[in-house]
Amino acid sequence: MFFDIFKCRFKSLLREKSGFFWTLAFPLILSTLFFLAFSNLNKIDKFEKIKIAVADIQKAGDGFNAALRNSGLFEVSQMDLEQAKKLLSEGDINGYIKCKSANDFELFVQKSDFEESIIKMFLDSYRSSYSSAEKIIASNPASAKDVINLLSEEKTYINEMPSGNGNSTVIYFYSLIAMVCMLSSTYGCSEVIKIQADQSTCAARINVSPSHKLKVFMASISAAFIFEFFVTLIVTAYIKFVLRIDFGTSMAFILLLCAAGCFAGISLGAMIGALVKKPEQVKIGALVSVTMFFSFLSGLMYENMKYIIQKNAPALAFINPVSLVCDGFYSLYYYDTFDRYFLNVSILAAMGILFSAVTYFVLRRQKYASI
Amino acid sequence: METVVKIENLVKRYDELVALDHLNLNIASGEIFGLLGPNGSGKTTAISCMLSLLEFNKGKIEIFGKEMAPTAYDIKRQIGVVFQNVAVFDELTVYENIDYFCGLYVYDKKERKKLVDEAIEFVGLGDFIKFRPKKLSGGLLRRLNIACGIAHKPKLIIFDEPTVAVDPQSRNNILEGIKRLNSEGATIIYTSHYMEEVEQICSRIAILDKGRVIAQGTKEELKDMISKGEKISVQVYGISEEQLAKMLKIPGVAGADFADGTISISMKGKSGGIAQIIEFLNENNIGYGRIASELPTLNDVFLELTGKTFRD
Repeated sequence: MFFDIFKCRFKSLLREKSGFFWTLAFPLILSTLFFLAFSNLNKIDKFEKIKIAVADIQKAGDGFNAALRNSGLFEVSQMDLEQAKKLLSEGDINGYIKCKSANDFELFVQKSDFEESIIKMFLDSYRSSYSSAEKIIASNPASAKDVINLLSEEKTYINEMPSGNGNSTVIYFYSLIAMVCMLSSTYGCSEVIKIQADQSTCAARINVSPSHKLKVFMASISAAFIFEFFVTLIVTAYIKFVLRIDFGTSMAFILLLCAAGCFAGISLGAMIGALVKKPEQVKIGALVSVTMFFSFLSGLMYENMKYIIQKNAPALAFINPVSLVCDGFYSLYYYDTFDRYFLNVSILAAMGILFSAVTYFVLRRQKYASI
Repeated sequence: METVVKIENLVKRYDELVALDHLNLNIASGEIFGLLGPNGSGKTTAISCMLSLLEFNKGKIEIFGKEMAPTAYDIKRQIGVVFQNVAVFDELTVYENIDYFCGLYVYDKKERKKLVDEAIEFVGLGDFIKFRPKKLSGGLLRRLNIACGIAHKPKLIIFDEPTVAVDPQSRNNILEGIKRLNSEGATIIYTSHYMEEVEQICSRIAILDKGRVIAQGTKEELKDMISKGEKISVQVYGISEEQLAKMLKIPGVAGADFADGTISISMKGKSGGIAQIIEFLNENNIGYGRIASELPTLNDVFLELTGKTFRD
């Protein structure tokens, strides 16, 4: 009986077009939009050297030449003025510098953009440092050698993040997967509604049958769990293999977290469906409110909320299933140890068991005051 | 005869409203038992209590000699229910729906397949087994609803207003199907507010009003309970006041009026008077045309017992 009911419910879920859209198509579309939006951000994050040309560099001296090369900002070519003008007009370089003396430069650019601003900032900084050096040497000629060395030595303009954990946008994809896990709560609620005789005639038909309604419920909720887990896998696979978002090396851990998240989500929905003794719309409304509130507290809508909760009420993050899923992903990505990850998975599993137990005690032998 | 359903002093209240007021029913095996009453009279509430779907305040329900409860699975196994609203899953096909609901009663796949095929043949949905419910017409949908309720071959079948919003042809098919199920041995409980249907198929009828059984018996027994009898209409060319007064003296005649060329005669109780009326007309040389006889209906019974009609 269990397998027959499971099969029918699974078929129904596969054929339910609106449910399929919200649980699968919507996250796929959203992840694609994230990908398109964040790929530009990543491009900005990855600094590419600015191509510049320098004419008459001998007039500026070795100090300027060394400062240019040691900055790490530029790909420098030395050439005459005419050649530099030609390259700029053809768009092969972002700008060229005409050196007049050690402290006098002219910058030529074709547009005023991010790269051009960097060249200007560098020249301003060099001029300012050179003037300071001149003053120091004038007042203390003995320090001349040290000051010249200081001017030409490497100055850090770009700060490289540690490799591996550098892509902050991956967090948004984790949040998206957490959202998919929590969407499963609607299936949990819906499966409870399908066995409550006061909610639909189909449910009344199930209630008048000799099958134990909790067995029917177990088969239906298992179908919903497997369905939702597969949906989460598809979304995760799409993000990893199609959008090529790096999840690190722990794919199996991600799947385990997804399973725990789906289990907690489905049982949360089932519990709310069982506890709210009102029509279907009210149950769904209550469920959406609860999951949205949890999502808000976990920082899905306002990033800083996560830190506010961590600072002021850290315990709240441990009873919020959305936070647990998100934090589980964060811990996989940021920490080298799995302590926090396994703690979150365990709490999610315990929550799922607790929610299921509450659902069981509310539903068993339930009669209705009105139908 | 073996009692299949026994309801004693059943009381169901919704706050101040008494939906069932000390309801008593006894339904014997092999009957088509009609629960007749206007909307809101308590028919569906009584059925829901009977099926342990609704909690009730007082009373006792026994089915097949055992007390009914939500966990009385051995009783539930022998009951089939055809709900007023179509109760099927939109995402499953006709075959899958019947198989699913039959599967709640019959776990053996081979046996179930046979039962599902028989149910499909019974309701005539053989050409539509791969259709989803949304593709079916209203009549076919009703047939699917019936198939889902009876596929497991129950001994007691409850039809809760199965013909609401059904076209006349489908209605006749449903009523014929119910008679066939009964002839195959099933006890039927049929609730309706259509008295013609109840009269047509039920062997015994309980009339409900405000949650109480106001009368119970065969349709003949129910009609005998009221003073109103047969109503005879005779088209005549004319009749004098004197002849009309004389007509009132015929045994069994309760009243007689003449208007628009027609004499309307009301008979008392069971009196069959058409022969006497014809004899009177002949004896008094009153020329007559068409004669029509109208027997009292269950609506007349309801009217006399409650002072209102079904539509009030």
